[in-house]
Amino acid sequence: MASQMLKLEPQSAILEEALGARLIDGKREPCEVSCADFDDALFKLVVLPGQESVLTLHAKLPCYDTLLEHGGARCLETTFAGLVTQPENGYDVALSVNADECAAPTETLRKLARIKRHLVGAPFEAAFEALVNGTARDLPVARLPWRRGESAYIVAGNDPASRDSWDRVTVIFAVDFREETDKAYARVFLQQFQERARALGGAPPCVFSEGSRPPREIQSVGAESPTIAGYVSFVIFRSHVATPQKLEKTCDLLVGFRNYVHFHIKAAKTNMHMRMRRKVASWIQVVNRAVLTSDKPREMKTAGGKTFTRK
Amino acid sequence: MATFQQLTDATIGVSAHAWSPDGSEVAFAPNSNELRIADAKTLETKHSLKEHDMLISAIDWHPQSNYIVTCAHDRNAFVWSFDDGEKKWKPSLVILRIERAALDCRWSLDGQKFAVASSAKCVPVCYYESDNNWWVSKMIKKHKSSVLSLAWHPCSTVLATGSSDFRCRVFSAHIDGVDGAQTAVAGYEAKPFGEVLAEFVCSGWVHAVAYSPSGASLAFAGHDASISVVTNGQVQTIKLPCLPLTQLLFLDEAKLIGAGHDANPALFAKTNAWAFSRFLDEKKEAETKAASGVAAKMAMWQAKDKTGSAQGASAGSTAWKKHQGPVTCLKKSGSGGFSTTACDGRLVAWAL
Amino acid sequence: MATTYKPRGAASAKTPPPRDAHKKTRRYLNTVRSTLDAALCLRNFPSQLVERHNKPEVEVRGSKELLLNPITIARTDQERCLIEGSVNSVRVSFAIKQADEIEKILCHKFTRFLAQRSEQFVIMRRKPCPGYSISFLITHSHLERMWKEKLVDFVITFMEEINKEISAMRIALNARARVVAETFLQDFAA
Repeated sequence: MASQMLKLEPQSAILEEALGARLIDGKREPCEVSCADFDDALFKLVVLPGQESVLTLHAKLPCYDTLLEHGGARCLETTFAGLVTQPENGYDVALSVNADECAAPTETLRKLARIKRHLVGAPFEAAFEALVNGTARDLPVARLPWRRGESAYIVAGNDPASRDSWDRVTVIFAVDFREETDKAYARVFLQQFQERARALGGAPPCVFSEGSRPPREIQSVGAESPTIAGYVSFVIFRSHVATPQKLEKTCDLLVGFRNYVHFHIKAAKTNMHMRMRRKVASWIQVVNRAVLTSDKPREMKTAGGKTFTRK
Repeated sequence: MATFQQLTDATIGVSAHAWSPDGSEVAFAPNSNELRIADAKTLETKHSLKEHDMLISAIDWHPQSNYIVTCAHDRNAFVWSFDDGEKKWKPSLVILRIERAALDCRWSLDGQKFAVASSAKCVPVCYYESDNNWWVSKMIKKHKSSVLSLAWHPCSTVLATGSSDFRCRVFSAHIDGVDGAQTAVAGYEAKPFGEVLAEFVCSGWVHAVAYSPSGASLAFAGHDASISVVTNGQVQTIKLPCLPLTQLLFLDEAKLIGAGHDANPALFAKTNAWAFSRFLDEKKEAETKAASGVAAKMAMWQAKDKTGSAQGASAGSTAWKKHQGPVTCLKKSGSGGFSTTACDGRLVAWAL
Repeated sequence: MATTYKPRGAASAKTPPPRDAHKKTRRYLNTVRSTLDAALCLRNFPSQLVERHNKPEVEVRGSKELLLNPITIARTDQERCLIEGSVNSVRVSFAIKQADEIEKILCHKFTRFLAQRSEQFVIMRRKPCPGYSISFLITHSHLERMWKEKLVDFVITFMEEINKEISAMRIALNARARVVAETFLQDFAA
């Protein structure tokens, strides 16, 4: 398995293409492109006739209000400074850029295509920056209800040996599936996350706990339903976010975690399905070995209704 | 010694067969409601008679009268007579008065009567009523389950039955109007019609019963893979070295043939007592026929696709057997031999 | 009435699999094979209860005398085979080993898959008998259209392979999960 094939990109390919055509390739055409992404995210790119150079991107993101509270607002002020405008009805946020006046089109394109990664990842970024700066102590416990019953939690923590070290941030994902089968698959996958993290040097420690036993860190903020598949917690140390590149990468991974797991569970199911199909087909062959066949040449009909016998 | 002819395709099968008095014709049912009468040598169909509307379960052709009796799962039986003028077989309906399928039918030796085994747990014994010009029946009851098989004693007034209630029974089938005054026969007490003369318990369903030519011995085969032979009231039971038998036939007083689920007739012989002697079908060195040509290649690929092996559906290790399925019917044929049919569509003529 | 027959040396569920496990599997399968060979002596037997009907007696169960004693052949508590015979039909049911939740799911999916293809499987019973994962119903008319020996071959092949396939699938799933987890976690360290 090539590792490239296993990963999902954090940007929206549709947005990237539509924006790129205008920002980089200089296309000037009115348009209205709507697309969806994981976690019920919705995007709409609007270019009005008469104002072909003005690109407005409306976005609807999960738990937007909570995101704003935990670093989202700052993200809009810094990353998307000067781009924020009034969103259309039904959307949470809108960013607007004039393609003719854009100073750094490549960078702007990257930012806009990764809008979800930036905003959803804002709480992570905020927490990790605090960790790096040594202000993790002041971090509130963040609960980000991405989906119903599947929140992400960000909790700053201490080394149990030294009460005041504030050297880590624990990111906890509640993972759930509607069907029992999917839950069972999820448990297998998440169990492996825990085991592999232990074996791999440098990876953040990862703990999987069943839905009925939520991790200690989040018991104070209220856990999800006890019937969910379970919780995965990643303990991020300073070493994982020491440089801006590492911090960025860690945020990419954590924002994409849930999608990654979902994607691979689906792939595993498809694979199992194909395997069963192959096995069943081979059994049908074994049954057919037992079926008596006629010795006589079979009489067959052509499409035209003529009969002939195959010799 | 045995030769086989393919009466029907192996996918169809033969449910019953019978020989014409001179052995020149064979009547059989290709596992359907059709009664087919064919030339014994060429197998060319001479008559195809479709009076029944469900599977024909038994055919019996009387050697003297040249009448054929057939019975079927449709609860009916027909007596067929050949019209020499029209060169056609004419059916005449029998008033069986049974509400369930008929499973077996046999002429009595004298041809005056025939009996029908039925799922209705009774046995109609039929005779001709010339006043009304039809066949009427008298009922033997007393069975607790389906009657699977029948055998007439050569005296024509005693009838043995095998039933799925684990019993082989002997009945009086004496009908005053046909058989005249009643006398004690064959060592059995004289009893009125329908009375049990003897009863034998078996630990399986009794699939087959047979009388020896003289009537001195009665044999029955059970699903417990055993056969029993009754001579002078003495029962001798033999455990089989094979799967259960479903058909029995005495060749003479000391030779008994059984056939059934093993698809290989077994010979039993009597010296002092009855004993299994041998199987009649013997394995010979297989002849391999090398297939060639486009058609053979194509068949091979088709087989590969369907079954995952180049052979396709084949008998495999049992290919040497004359029969490829359980024997459905065992009949005496001319000159001391006998014949079997099975659901593989084959008619095998055997000679010792 | 049911007789439970354990082939000599059959492993119990509690003991770990012995080194000659494959020999015991063979013995188990051979026992099933010979029992089936005897049970599949069927005849065309029209119903004695309903006019013009011909139904598998093992399903109808209308007449006690037409049914044979059911036979259970057990390899372990979880791996069992029930053979119910009658005059014109045989029902063969299997309990498939389900060691954990995933195997249970895979087994369920497999049997559903098979049930959907019951047309092609001819002898497949759409619903398994209670307490069993999968059931076959073989009637005399099947034997008229199929080689009995090969049909038994199929049943044996099926029994042999379904357990193997389910454990192989579970192992494959674990291996896959491992690679997926590793790939993800490696990126933190990179």
